[in-house]
Amino acid sequence: MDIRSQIAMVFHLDKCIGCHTCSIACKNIWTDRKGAEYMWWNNVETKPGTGYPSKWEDQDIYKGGWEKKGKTIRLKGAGKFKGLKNMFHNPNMPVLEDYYEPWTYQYEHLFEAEEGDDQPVARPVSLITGEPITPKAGPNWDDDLGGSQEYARKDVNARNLSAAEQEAMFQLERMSFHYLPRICNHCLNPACVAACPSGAIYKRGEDGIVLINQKKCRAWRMCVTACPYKKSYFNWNTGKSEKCLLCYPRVESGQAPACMHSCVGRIRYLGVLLYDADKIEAVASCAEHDLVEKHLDIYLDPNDPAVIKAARANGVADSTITSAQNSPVYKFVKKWGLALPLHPEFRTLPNLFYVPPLLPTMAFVENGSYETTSESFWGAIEKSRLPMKYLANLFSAGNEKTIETVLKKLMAVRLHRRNVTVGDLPEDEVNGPMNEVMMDKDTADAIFRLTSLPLFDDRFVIPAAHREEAMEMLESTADVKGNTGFGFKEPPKRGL
Amino acid sequence: MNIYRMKTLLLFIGIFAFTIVFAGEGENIFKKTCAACHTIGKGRLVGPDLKNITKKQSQEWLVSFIQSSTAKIKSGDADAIAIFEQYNKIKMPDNNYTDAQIIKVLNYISQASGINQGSGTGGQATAPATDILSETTAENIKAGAAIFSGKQRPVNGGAACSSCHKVRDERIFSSGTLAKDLSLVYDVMGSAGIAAIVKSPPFSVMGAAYKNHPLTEEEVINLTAYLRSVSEERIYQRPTDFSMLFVFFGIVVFIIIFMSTIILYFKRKKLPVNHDVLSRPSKVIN
Repeated sequence: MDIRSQIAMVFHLDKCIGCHTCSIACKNIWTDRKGAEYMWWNNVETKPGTGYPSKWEDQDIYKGGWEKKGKTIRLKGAGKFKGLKNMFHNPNMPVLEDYYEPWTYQYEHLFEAEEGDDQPVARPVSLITGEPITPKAGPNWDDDLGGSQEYARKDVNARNLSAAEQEAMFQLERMSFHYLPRICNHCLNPACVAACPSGAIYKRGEDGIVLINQKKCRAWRMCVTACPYKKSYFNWNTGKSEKCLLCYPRVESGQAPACMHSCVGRIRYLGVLLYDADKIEAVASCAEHDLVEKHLDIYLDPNDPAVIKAARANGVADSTITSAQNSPVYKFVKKWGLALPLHPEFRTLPNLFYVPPLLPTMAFVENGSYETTSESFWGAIEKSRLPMKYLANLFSAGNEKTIETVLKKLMAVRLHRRNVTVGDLPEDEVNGPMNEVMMDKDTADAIFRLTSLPLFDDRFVIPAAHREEAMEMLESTADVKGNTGFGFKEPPKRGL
Repeated sequence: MNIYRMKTLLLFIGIFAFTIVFAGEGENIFKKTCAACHTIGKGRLVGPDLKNITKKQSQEWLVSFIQSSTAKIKSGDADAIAIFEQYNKIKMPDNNYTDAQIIKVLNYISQASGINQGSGTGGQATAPATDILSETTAENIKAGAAIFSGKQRPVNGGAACSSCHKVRDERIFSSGTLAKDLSLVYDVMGSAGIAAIVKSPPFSVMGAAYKNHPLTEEEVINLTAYLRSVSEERIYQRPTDFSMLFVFFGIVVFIIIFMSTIILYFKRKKLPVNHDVLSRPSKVIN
């Protein structure tokens, strides 16, 4: 066993209201710079939709992630021959049009315009060329367009649905959408790290955050292609690639990352998971229908004495183990089994988990009309508006059973709470679903509390970074003890 | 010893050393640069025997001719053209010596003309008494060919002749076109001329190339023998002309690379994924 700690996340999609506050918080801190205008380390997508960059999930276009080759896995778009072939022209890399041309408005014109007959306007100008442009795409251009021809119907996840299913998905009064906020997954098996020819990308040992060394980056841009989530961006101004760094300066000082801290819907949870690094290859190269199950198995119980012993032996700090025991992520992912990884079929073993949305799947059409009556609104999940297959394509590599179990658990919690607060349902109507997913009332209450009434410290259990120990590894602190002051020595000026 | 005798002795030694140094420079230049093609009283090589040349022409004419015979011929000087015609239309290479240096060389020539008074033949075309190639065999020719083509590196590490020169010989696959075609060089210069030029090249580029890499005596003989054989056998040689073949192969290889690039990159992303959305005409009226 090679036990390591990983800072992992859970996003509760039922709670996301699509306000983009997270994106703005991130942009204001990190990517509001020349060359980084188009970067959205955090973005919120509407599903069904094509996302950002457009159709990022379609690995036939972008060749990101890993693919199974025999008993092991290989990078889909990188490697010796492919790297050589695409060294000077990489057709799999997203181009500016796949993102969008960033723009701003000529606000100054509103104040400085010559007096005339018309109101002055602020024209949009490109942030790259400075020329006036007509924006035709943006990072959330298909925001709320859950049924549109151009975007929703081109959703890659609906590709293997039957024509009838697809048609049903986009029927008037039946179509639904939900939001999907995305950041870097800080994967256990990151394709970006594997693809980098300069060895500039690394996964931090102490907390598993994946970072790009800006001094070592040589602008090969292999990470941009290799990352199946398209979360590595190339800065055209500095000539280096950049990506989400999970606000590590904040995390190291015990603060939640900016996107999570600012989240209005409080959908985000952050905590430590302990995992067994020896199993990564075996898990990443298992059969597709086992992927989610095997992936979740790699995370270990932080209360197990054997795991604690092995973790200590591997240098995991006690404070980190304690955080892992209190981790909300561990509860959602392992204890309750409610959260699933996004697109596990990319085989990067992402550490960002999503509680799938229940609302769009509820309610269904009966006799041509949208059924909203109380009895059937909380109806059977199999009859949901959003095909189970679609959600399975997003969160469980096509395994519908996994999704169904999670949604049934979520439904059971709701029925239980309705019984507690309203008490209008007959006992068996509540107990039936509870028993089906083998959930007791205490667990249901705990899920409810962490979902709806969590305190700040319940959502973010951040382990101490122990930078002082890291510092001691780099330099001898005794050398400077008694020798440092404020760093200046000036004679005082006297008199008036 | 008397102090005056000392002074006189020193003065004599000084004058003697002075004469040696300056007479020496003229001789050095002559041996280094001129002797490849010219003799003083030993008959014609590539160029004329220079015995008593200072008496035949004015010093002014000689200096300007030596500095640039090409310019002199071009200027239409009758004597210069006559010499040019007489000596197989081989131009004497230009050089960068100053007037003073050339005058020293001329002084040396006139001095040496006096010494060789008896043995000269009056500058008429007569080959040197012994031909260096009198005892050469097929082995020598083979060794010379190896040096010419570069198969065998010269002992002192000089460049292969074929780097710059060309001969009409089937055995040499490809050769340079930077300098003269040497197929007929034996007919023009004879063995002594070739040997002299190879030993200390009077041409600036060739001189620089072989300055630190002189050929050995044996190599000189081998090369000369080889060049003679080239000259003798040239009518039997039918070397392939690669010039058009190279162009042809270049085109073929280009097409192959071009086609394979197209095939390799055929399944590539040619347009942005949102092309149809982005290319829609804008409704904005400008």
